[in-house]
Order: sequence, then structure tokens, then C-alpha cells
Amino acid sequence: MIDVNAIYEPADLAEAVRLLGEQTDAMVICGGSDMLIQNREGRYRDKAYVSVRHLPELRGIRETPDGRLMIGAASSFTEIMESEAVQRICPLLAKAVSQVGAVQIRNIGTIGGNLCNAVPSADSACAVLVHEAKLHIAGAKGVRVVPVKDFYRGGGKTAVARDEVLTAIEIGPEAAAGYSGHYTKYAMRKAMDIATVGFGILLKLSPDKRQIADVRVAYASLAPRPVRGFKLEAALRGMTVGSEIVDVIHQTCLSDVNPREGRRVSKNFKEKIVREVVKRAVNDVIVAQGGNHVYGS
Amino acid sequence: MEIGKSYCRVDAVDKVTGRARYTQDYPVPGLLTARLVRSTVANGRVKRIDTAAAAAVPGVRAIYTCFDVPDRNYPTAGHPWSLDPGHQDISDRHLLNERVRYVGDEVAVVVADNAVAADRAVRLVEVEYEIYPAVFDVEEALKPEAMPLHPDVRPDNIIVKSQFKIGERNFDDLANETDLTFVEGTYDTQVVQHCHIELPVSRGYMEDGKIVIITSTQIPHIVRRVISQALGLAIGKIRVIKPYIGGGFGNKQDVLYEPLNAWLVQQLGRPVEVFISREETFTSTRTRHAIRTKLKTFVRSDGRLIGRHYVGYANNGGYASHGHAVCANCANEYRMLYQDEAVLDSTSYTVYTNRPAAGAMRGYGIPQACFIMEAHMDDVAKSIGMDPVAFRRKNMMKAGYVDPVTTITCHSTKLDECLTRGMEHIDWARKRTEYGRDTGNIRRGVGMAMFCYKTGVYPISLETSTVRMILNQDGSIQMQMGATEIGQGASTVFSQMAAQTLGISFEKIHIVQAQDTDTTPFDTGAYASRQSYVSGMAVKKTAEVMKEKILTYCSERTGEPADDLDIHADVIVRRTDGTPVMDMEELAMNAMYSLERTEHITANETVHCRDNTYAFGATFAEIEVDMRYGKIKVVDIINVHDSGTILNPDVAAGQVHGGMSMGLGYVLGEDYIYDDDGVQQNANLLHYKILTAADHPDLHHAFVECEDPSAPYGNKALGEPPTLTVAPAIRNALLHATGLSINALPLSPQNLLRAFEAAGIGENDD
Repeated sequence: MIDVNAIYEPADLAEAVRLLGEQTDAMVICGGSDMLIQNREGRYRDKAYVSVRHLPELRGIRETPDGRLMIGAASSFTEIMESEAVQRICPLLAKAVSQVGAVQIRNIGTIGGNLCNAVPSADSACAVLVHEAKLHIAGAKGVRVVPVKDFYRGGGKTAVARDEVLTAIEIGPEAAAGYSGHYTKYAMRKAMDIATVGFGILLKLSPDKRQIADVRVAYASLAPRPVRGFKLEAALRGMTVGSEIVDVIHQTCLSDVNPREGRRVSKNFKEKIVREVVKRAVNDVIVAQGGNHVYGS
Repeated sequence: MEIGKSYCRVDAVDKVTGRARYTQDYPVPGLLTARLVRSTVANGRVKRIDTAAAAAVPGVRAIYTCFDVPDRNYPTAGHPWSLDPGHQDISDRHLLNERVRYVGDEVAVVVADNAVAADRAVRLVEVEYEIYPAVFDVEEALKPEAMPLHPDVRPDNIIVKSQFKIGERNFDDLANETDLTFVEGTYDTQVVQHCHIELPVSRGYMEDGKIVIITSTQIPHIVRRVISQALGLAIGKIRVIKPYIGGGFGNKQDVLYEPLNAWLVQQLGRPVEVFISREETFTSTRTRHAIRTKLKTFVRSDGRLIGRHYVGYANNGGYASHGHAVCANCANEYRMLYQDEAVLDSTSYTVYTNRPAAGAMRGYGIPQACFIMEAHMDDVAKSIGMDPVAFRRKNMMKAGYVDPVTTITCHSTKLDECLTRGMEHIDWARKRTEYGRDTGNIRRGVGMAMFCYKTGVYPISLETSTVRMILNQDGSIQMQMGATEIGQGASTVFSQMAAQTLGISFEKIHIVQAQDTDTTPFDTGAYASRQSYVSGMAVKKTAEVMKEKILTYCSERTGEPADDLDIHADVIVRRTDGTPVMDMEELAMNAMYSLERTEHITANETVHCRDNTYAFGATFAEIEVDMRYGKIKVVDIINVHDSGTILNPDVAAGQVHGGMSMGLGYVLGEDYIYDDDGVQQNANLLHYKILTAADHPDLHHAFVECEDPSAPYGNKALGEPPTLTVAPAIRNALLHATGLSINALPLSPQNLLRAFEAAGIGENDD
């Protein structure tokens, strides 16, 4: 038994938006792998749930004629991992979501739910941030598009209002073309775990492989929300491939984040780990681009 | 020969098809649901409970508080009751507690139509506490100014202090000898939990003037006795049924919520279910004791242990449960596995604190003993530059050893062969030389640890078991035992034992899988790795008596002397030449329906076991340490076991793998994390890092067999041994890989990075 007032299963997006507008205690539920746990712990009771899981408008992963990738918000992690279009256009996203929880969770958990849950540890968040995705949000007044940099509002809130529905995640054709990507999920277990430290990166070297032409990074579990690492990006962009990169990472990466003293994991530990994670990840993408090793054996 | 065959488990088909019924699969009409209200303070007294808002929740039938229950203490330990008051389990538990002693202690209970109503009501119960300062660790609890947590039971917080000394000399005098090396260290183990897959649950109702409790327990007959003590009700008025259970590992070797369940049924006159959630199981059932030991050792340069000094402290939490038995067991292991030339001086304390009650958990003090002892042994070996295995061989228990304190005799040992086998598997000699010298980020090492483990609790406590066999008309046997199948394969091996001794085929042994105190004879239950040994003795004795009765009846029918007869593959044959005389079905039909003389052939025999023996084994492990991530990768691991004759190799392999898995969790990351107020911060399976299938290396095992002469079928303990030495083997491999002695569990990434930083290694290499 679940302690909730009502569960609605609208047939289409318009009905879903209408229900959310009419029932002021209503909230969106999709796969439920976050919300049902929170309900068990006492949150989100005395509410009505409006299920968007089977809405046709939220399903499917397709490429537009001009090469943009539109990922339906109700796409499961498994669907994203197995999508040919995702593997071609933004393989880093597939790699990142493949590390969520376990097979069972990947089958029912969705990217829309992962983003709207607004936790800093979401495995899909780093990939979405470094691809500079656009989020499509439907409400009573129609659909609006929000760049991901404006999506997280802090305090567990996103740009999606209570009576709106995230419908799609859009990734542009140039977001990752020619880049190498990596997502590191440092956790205590290989499955059924959330990231102690998460780090996503897209990097491109110059044609002669000697310089970092461009880089975008994002961190998970190190701040109240998933964040881009603009200071690290600025420091690395244009650098010559060599061991100085490791020193720059060591000195700079913590300035983008704000890890707190956790109830189970200390701040000191997180800081040590994030430096190490970033050094290894940067090395890996440089090598993948054809550049020389800069760190580790 | 049925013993030694890998028969398919007799419970396998029902379990994998979903047919197997567990406690919540038994329908009870009109069943109400109970949920507990729990203390939010670690040490205090309930001043007032306001239930008005909770009682108004639709569906709530009744709310009882600590002020409503009988003011009577009872014991909860899964031990046979002692008739000697000096040895009885401590009675320090009420059904609900006005005096609370840990965060999560139960103060009230809501009974409702369904779980949602019960849960809503629990959240609305308002409790006001008088708060006392809490003591969370042994040091705090032992201070003179510390508040005694059970002044009606103990004047201070020491549950028991025990001491023994083997040898005449004074340990401290060894310091005057010039040719000895002195090594000392403090070694700590952490609190962990069983994480059995089926949560604690029971259903109670009245029937036939009796209270009936269906419960997920390892110890149905003991549950019955404790309910009697808790409620002041005659035992004959109580019936306990134990169906299939989803694991116990010692948590269900305590009487958890059955007495409360029974009391609610009594009060309400309605059936009630008490269900304990996973979070509550973490905070409010039992845990494995955290034990701290301070060890001092004098060793001679040739590797002989001359003298050892041991002081151990067990943190027992807020209630006694199994009391000092676990810590005493830990100290016993220290004495049994190795012998000293001059002296062993040992002191143990078990202490009350404001933590959840520690109780029985697989190994019962020996996982702790093996960690601290085997870690120290490697430290000592290193101090004199000796190979860890050679050092152990020089000091370990030999065949014929009689323990000076318990008198338990080593009737058989293949420990030496186990060591050789483990060394071969891991390629010990080569890797001890080649590894252990890496200086980069990835460092490799091999390590090992070994154990001895007694089989059952004799002579410390009573060992007894009864088995009943009944002949069916088709020549099959109905077998009833109080010993319990808890997932270890007991029902299967008991069936094999009966088949072997009777001469009746395995498929015709029908063992009753659910214990029912109304019909299954007395046995204390599954713990201490006792059942195959002790209950197995009862199977053998009962089968022998049964066979004799069958052959006597046959002899009457046929005129052939009973002594000349035997049973083989369901046929009664002549011993001399094996020629058939009568098949079992024909005999059974005659015994049941003959107009001349019927006898409903039954045998019911008790074994009072007055012996014990040691099982042995070792773990060998190879690891790679990622120094800057603080992560240990187990590259190769093997458990080698001497458990005498292996009754069923496939079932035994499952036991070994499960125990190794628990050992890996113990060393790699399981732990209880609290805040300063004593609130557990990781009371669920996400934040409590029990390993998933993906986190396991391949688990290898091997058995070195022998026939133990004291055992019914040559068998020795195997239930608990597999979990004993994984943690120290990996800790010792880490010592080899990094040169660092880390003396506290778990070897989690945070703990490793902290230790590496303190030692100044790993950060800037490579």
C-alpha cells in the first residue's frame, strides 16, 4: 500500500497538464524509483500523483532533420543506452546513464525523472550539462525551452513548475562532434550506489594533438546541485598537453565546487578523490583524442 | 553411500518456483497490523506519551504504551535455558520500554487495520523524554561517573568480566628476557548487521485456547519458552510455528518481537502481525559486537610464541541479549588456535552502552577474534622477518590438543594440509617475493589467515536434540525435527543421514520442513554450527532404533533372525548374501493393517551430546590496492576448509560462498555510522554498503576431508567457518602490498586514505 491520495494516468500530455492545473496537490510521477522511496520515508504524501510514464509525447528518441537529438523525457536509461542515435551523437550520455543503480533501475528510471528530482548526485546530470542541452517544458500556456545552465535553481528546485511537465531533452549536433568524453562515477559499490563523486568531461585537442582546443566539465555530488566547472575549463583551455595540466587540475578543480562535511563521507575525503578523478579523466580523454599521456601509468 | 553426494536440496523446487511459504504467506483471517513507536533519544526515560491524535487516525484499533505492559524483565538469548541461576541468560528486557537505552528502543505500539493507518498513527504519537547523558563506547561506559544502564541487573555497566591464565609465569617478567622481540597493538572490529533477506515478522492468533505465533526464527522452541517467561504464561499454552525463513545468520537466534506479538494477541483477542522494516532491522534488532583488543606478545627469533597478553572489550549495546558469551568465545579462540611456550594472560569485558543490542551473528565472536589475532600474527611475523605461514605452523594447535579451559579435544585436524592447499592455489612463495615491493599507485600483495572453530556449544552449555521418525504405508519415512532449515541446507543433509543409516532411499525420506512446537520434537535450533553434528547424532540414533524396530517386525513376520537382516535400497535383505526378504512397502502395509499384530513403527530418540571437536580452515587472498582511490580489488581468493566429511559438496560450496561474501563485506565497507546523538546515519541498504553481486570476485573453495571420530557422519562445523578469515587475509595482503598495518575494520576507501596519509604513503608516488 502506498500512502497517497490519488493516482491519475492521463492518456496524453494535454490531459496531464490539465490535471496538474486543476489539482493543486498534484505532482508528476514517472518511473517512480525516486518518488516512491521518498513516499516511504514520509515525503510526498497527502498528494495526488499524475503519471507521465506512458504519455506518447514524452517517449522516443529521435533525430530532427537538422541533426538535433530529441530525447523524450520518459525515456528509460536502458532505452538511452541502447539508442543508436545517442551512441552516435552523444555517447557520453549513454556511458553515464549506464552506471545508474542497476539493471532493474535503468529499466524503469527515466532521464526526465533523474533531472527533475534535482539531486546533486544524478548520473545523467553531468552529461546533460557538458552537452549544454536545452530542456523542453510544457505547461498550460504551451512549450518553452530552457537552457540547462538555467535549469537547476538550487534547494532541490528546477525550472519546471509544479503544474508543468518536462517533455524532452534536446542536444545539438555540434555539442560533442569531434570531442572525446568520459564520465566517472566514484562510488563505494559497482552497482546499487549513488556517486560519492561524479565527473563528466568533453574535450577536444588541436589538430596537431599538442593543445587542448576546448573542454567542458561538470561535477556531481560536490555542491547543492550538479555544476559546470567553468574555472577549470578556463584554466585548461589552450594549455599544452603535458604534466603541467596535472598541477593545474590539482590547484583549480576544487574552486568550482563546494563539498560539505557529509553525514557519512568527509569533506576532506571528497576533495582528495575529486582531484584524483579529474586527473585520471582528463588524461583518459586526452589519450582518446590521440594526445600523450599526462597522468598515471 | 548417501553422505557425500550432492543431492539437489529438498527445498529447492518450492523455493525457486515461488511455492515455498514464508510467514507472510500463511493467511490469517482478520489479521491486524502492528507498528512500533521508537525512542528518538539514546538514554532516557519516557515521561509522557500522548496518543490522542494517533488514535483518531481511521483504521487504528488500539495503541499500547510502555505504561501498559507488564513490569517484568525477560531474557531474549537463543540459548538453552540453564537450571543454574548463576549461568542463566540475563533478563533485562520489557515488552515496551519506559526506560530507553538506545535510539530506536521501542516505547509504544500501534495496532491498525493496515500498514498505512499504522504508519500514519505512529508518526502522530507524541513522546516526552527525560534525557540522560549517553555513553556510546566502552571507555565512556566504564568511567566511574557513567550511569549504570541496568542498575537492577548490574551495579555498573560491566555485564561480565572474565579472566584466565594459562601457564605459571608472569607475562610482564618476560620483558627481562634478552632474546625476545616484543610486539603490541590495538585492534578494532566494527558493528555490522546480518542483512537477512526476509525481515523479522510474526503473525499471532488464538486457537484451541493457545496463543499461536508463526514467526521467521531460527529457534522456535526457544521462542516458545521466552514467550512463556515474558508473559508469565504456561508453555503448554503456547504454540510456535517456524515455516521457511529467508535467512537469519544469528539475528533470529534471539527472541525479537514474538513476545510482544503474543501479548498483543492476548490483549486484543484479535490476530496481529508485527512486521519490522529494513530500517528498523538495522536500528532495533541485533548487531555483531564491535570488539576492541589490546594485544602484547613476546616472540623468540625462531618464531616460537613465548607469551601473550590479551585484553578484550565488547560493546554490547543497551540490552544483554547473548551477553558475555560472544566476547568469551573471542578470547577462547585466542587461546585455542595457538599455544604459547610460557604464558597466556587474558581478560575480557562485555559492557552495556547506549547502542543497539549486539547479539549473535555468524561466527559468534570468532570473526572478531580472527581479525585481531591473525592481523597481530602477521605483525609479529613481520617483526622477526618470518614467513606468515611458517610462523603459524610453528605455534598452531596440533591433533590431540585438549583445551585447558573447556576441555574440548582436537579429535581430527587437516589444518596443515589446508595451508598447503591454499598456498598452492595463490602461488604463495613466488608472490610473497615478487609482490610487496610496488611503489606506484597500484600495489599488489598476498595474505592469509586461519581459524579453528568448535562444533556446537558443549560443554559451555547444554547440547541436546530429538528426532522422530514414522513409517508410512508406502515404506517411506516421515521425519520430524526441532532442528531448523534456515537456508543452510539442514533438511537436505538430515535426509541424507537418515537414508544412509536406514538403508531407505533418499527420495523416500520426507522431512517436515516447517517446525511446529506442537508436533516437532525439541531441539534448540540453528546456531553455533551445531545441527549437522548434534542433531545429526540424533538422526543417526533415531534411524538406528527405527531400523531395529523394522527388522524386529520383519523377523516376527518371516522367522528370520533380526540380527541377520539389513535394509538396502528400500528392501530388507539378508546380511550374509544380500538376498531380498521383503520390501519396505510390504512390511509397512503389514505393520499398519495386519490383523495379527499392528505396530505403527515410530522411533523417537534424544541425544544428549557431551562432546565437541574443532573444524579448521584458512583464507588466502591476492589483492591490488589503488592507493589514491583507496580501493582494494580482490584479484584471487580461496577458502580451504577442514570440516571433516563433507555431507553434500554442492550445498557445502553454497555455505562457503555465502560466508566468504559476508567476510568480504566485513572487510571492505560494512559499518554502522552514527551522529553525535546516537542516530544511525546509514540504516538502509543504500547507505549500508553490503556488497552487490557485481562487487564480488570469483569465490574459490576447496575441502580437505577427514572422518572425525566424534561425529555422527565424520562431519565438523561448516555453517560459520567460511566467514571467519576473509577479513584478516585481506588485511594481511594489504600489509604485504603497502607495508602498512591497519588494525581497524572496515578497510573502506575513507579509512584507507586516512591511514595512507598518516603514514605518508601513496599520495605523491609515480
